[in-house]
Amino acid sequence: MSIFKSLFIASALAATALAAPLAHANPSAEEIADIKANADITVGLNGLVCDFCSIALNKTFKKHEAVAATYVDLDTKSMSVVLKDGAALDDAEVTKLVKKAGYNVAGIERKAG
Amino acid sequence: MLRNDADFNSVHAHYTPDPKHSIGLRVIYDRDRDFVYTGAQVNRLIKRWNKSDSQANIYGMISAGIVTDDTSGPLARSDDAGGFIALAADWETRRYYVSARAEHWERGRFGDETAYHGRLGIAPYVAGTGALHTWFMVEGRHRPESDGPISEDKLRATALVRFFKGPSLLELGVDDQGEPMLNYIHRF
Repeated sequence: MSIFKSLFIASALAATALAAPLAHANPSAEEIADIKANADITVGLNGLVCDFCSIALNKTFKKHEAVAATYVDLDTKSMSVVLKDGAALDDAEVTKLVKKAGYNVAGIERKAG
Repeated sequence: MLRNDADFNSVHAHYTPDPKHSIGLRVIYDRDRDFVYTGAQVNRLIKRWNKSDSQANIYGMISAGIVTDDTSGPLARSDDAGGFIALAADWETRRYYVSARAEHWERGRFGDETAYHGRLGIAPYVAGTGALHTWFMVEGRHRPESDGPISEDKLRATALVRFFKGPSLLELGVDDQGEPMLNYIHRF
């Protein structure tokens, strides 16, 4: 018993120690304000209840070649998406990415102009 | 995911190829019955309801592997095949959390078992993106086939606090017999 107990406790400590530097860095307040101010697309979301949701959405969108930056706001239940210069992302693709992450689109707004 | 409570030490490392499936390795040390289960596990999100202020899910889980005796000597049991199926459901908002899970184990000479778990949780404050999320939870577990008397082993309640920040989730608790619980989840 003691061997396994020690093994699991050691695993827990090791995982915790390893996880710290691997943890995704939260954007600074300035970076968040910048993403929100420059968002090309703001996506209203259903099912957004925790930070694991925001991680899944950020991860899915950031893999797309058109996306430069994202920020998920739990309070406004929305995601701000900044596109790369000259890139485009239509509503169907946005909806597909949100569904791929496991959530539903409540609405899509685009920057005027 | 690491889970350590009065009866078990468990680790579950899994990969999620899409939002509906995860595949991984599960190792469980059952201190109540002195065996170690090592198996492959597949989880499937059967149904998700995404609402404006809430999310609800139904999950199915299946695992197959090998059970090894943790004791040694002439009375030690030889290895046997084992596995489980489970059905789990949860509903949560940013303030409230409810979950339930039923699982059935087949473990050959190590004994079969059906167990039930449930949780209720409340967040004392609603945390924003990237902030520290805190939850107070109560977990109940029923193991009808447990070896111990009902009052001690078959039915247990655990009070716990969950801390949740970014990709890391830590749970610390103590059950009604004073046994500690330590759970940790990290999402990469």
